[in-house]
Amino acid sequence: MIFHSYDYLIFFAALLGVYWCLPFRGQNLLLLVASYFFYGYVHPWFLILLTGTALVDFFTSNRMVSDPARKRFYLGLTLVANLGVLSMFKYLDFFSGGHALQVMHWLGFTSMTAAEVARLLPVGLSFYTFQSIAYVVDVYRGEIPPQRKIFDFLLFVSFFPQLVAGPIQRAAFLSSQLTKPRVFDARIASSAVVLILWGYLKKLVIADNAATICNKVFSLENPSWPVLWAGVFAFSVQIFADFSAYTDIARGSARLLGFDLAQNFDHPYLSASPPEFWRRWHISLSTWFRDYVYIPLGGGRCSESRVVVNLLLTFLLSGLWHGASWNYLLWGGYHGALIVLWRWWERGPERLRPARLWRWPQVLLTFALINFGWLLFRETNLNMLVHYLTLNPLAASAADWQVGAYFFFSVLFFSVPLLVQMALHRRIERRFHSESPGDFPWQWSLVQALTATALMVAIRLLCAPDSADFIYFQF
Amino acid sequence: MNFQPRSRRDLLQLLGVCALPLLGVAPLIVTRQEQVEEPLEFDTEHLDVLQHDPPEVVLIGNSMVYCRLNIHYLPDLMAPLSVETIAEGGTRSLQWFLWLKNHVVATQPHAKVVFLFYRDYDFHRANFRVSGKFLNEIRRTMREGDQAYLRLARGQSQGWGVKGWLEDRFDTIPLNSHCRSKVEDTAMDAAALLTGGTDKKIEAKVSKVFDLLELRRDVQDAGIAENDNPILEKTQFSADPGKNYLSHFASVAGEHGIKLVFYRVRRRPDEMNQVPQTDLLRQYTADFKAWAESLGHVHVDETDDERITLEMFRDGDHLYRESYDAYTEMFYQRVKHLLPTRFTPEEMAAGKEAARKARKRENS
Repeated sequence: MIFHSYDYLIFFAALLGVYWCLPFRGQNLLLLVASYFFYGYVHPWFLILLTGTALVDFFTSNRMVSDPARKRFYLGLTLVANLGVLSMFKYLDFFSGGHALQVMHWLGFTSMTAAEVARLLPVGLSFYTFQSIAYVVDVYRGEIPPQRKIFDFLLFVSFFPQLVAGPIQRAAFLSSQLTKPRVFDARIASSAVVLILWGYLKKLVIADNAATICNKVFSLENPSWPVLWAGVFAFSVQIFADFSAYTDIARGSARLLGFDLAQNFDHPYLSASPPEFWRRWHISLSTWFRDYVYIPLGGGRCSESRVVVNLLLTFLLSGLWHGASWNYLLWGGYHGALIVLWRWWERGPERLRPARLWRWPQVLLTFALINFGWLLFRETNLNMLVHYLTLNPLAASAADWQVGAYFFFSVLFFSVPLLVQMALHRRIERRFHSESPGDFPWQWSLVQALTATALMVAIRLLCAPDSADFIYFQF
Repeated sequence: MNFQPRSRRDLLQLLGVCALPLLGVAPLIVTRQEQVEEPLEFDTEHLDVLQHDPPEVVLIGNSMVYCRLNIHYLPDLMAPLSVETIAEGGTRSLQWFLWLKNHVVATQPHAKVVFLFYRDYDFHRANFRVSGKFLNEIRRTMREGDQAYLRLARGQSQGWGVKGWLEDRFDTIPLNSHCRSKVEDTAMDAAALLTGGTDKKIEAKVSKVFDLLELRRDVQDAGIAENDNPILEKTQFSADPGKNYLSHFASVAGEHGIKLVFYRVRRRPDEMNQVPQTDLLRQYTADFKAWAESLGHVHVDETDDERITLEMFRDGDHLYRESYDAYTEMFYQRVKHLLPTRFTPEEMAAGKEAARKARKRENS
């Protein structure tokens, strides 16, 4: 089920109504049923895989505590199960050199077609696999106790607001909320409604309108330089608006159910350096790679050459996490290289660096570097990528610049709400996240109501005629 | 239910946050519908071309015309007849009908034979491609009094399930289209201001940049390759004037003595060189043909022509440019017996005189 469908609105409204009438244990059971319904809505096959790996994780994590002498074995078992499933369904085609169909035939599924093989990949597989792995590793390290109640664990893995595209939750954070009775707080619910509507605006108005332009540009055989980069700009807006929209709707939905989900974005395009960008972009994944890949590899506490290898390896894996394609590896490698270069720049001789750099030029430079990365991310055809990189801006005609400018302004104008929010976000967040009763006067409710109204009206008036799935569903 | 202290007041505030947006949107879904059904300033481009050198034959359609036929070669084959094309990518039956009614028929002397290129169920659904940029084009092809045709399309269900039910009752698509056009126009103005161009030039360049021939072969762009899936459709033929434009086509053509040729193109075949068709689709096509012939028009179906092979297709139902000439010759051979005679000098003179009078009347 997708968030921007009427089906979801009806499903969620019905769920909310029943949910808050039930006692605590009933709520959890209902959430589990609802999560399975949500995930299996498209294809029941997805549920088999989800449940299978979750059961393995549940039993191995519990065995780690009851049989500590063999906990390394159980960790290995669970990693093989999770990464095996991930490799099988996500990377089979990539590692078999595009011969997934032949492999399936060889395995005995002789009647399978290419379309059926493609459909085998469950949405959100990478997200819930990483969440489960983090849980098992945390139990292995003794940082959290294993979950004893199987239904609570299944709910932790399948909690529907964040199941398909994150944010990837840590067990210590989400599990503790699953085991505590929840209280309906109308003030939090009000902010959740606004957050959900804000997510819908970002998806349906900003991301989908930017996608229209981006898709057009990337379907051209031979775009001019200005048209191509206007398309890349459109994609950078699209991917941020699209992914952060999903997170907002997920967090808003969870809040209405009495849960708090971790933040996933913190205005990444306001970053003044590549490392800062990664502290603000897809935070749940960045911190996952930091805690479960980079630090175990040795992190920054080893020789410089080893640190560089650790960084590059971590970012290459991060690229590979996004998809089984060379362009994602390139994208990961590019960001790894940016981080390394930035590290050297910061550690280089002081005389080479200006005494004081203004923040805004740095923000613009970082945005340009990130945009270059998005070109690598968006273009899956390597020949086309090479072609794009050889385009000459001086060869573009005046008309090409006019079309490029037109696309740029179209995206920019549809993004005005995002720009306003970026300018006001500190103030807005202070108010919306305020927990103190004294800070929540009726005037603020009025502001929320008017904001929600403006969002709803804007969605209705400006939403794109066609809406695609969220980009991160494919990961 | 577990409420926190002070929650009744908070709950009221929450209700406000939920209810106000709905109240805010309510006026938008019941107003301005009439306004967006009004014609815009009439675009005379096609009419001017037709009137300049009135053709005996006109081809109407979308990319199924110009991404299959060589429209520069066809006049050579049809010579000495004059032939013109009115086709724009993505358009569907309402736009085609308005071209027939307000351009072809309005030409003096008007064409004797009009070919309408279509795929499978294109004529069945009146409401396909009547929003967004298509709506603006439609409104620029409408004359005063044509609002009823647009209303016919917009009165039909927009989809299935909950979405369809809601959109049937709360139609905000025209208003949405209007607002999005405003944003795009403002972007056009800003680009013109920055780069020293004009809106018209940029618009023309955008159309040129996204000409189908400029598109990548490895990209099946959803918007371009989009077409209905004949395997999934479950449709029976109908020419009910309240459901689609078929009888309107027939009525306008009949009134002016124009012969219509409904030309069903062969869609992309599979690797066995077969075009998948359901029994329902075959029945639909047979009923369509019977209906057209009962009114003195013609229905041509090239679906089973295996000379149009998979190798000729580029993306979707569009052909490679190199295949255009061969396809054009096949088309000509198939329809040459349907072609009319040339206009006589008397017909031409009378037509020109009528056109002059009409222009004079319009100016006065």
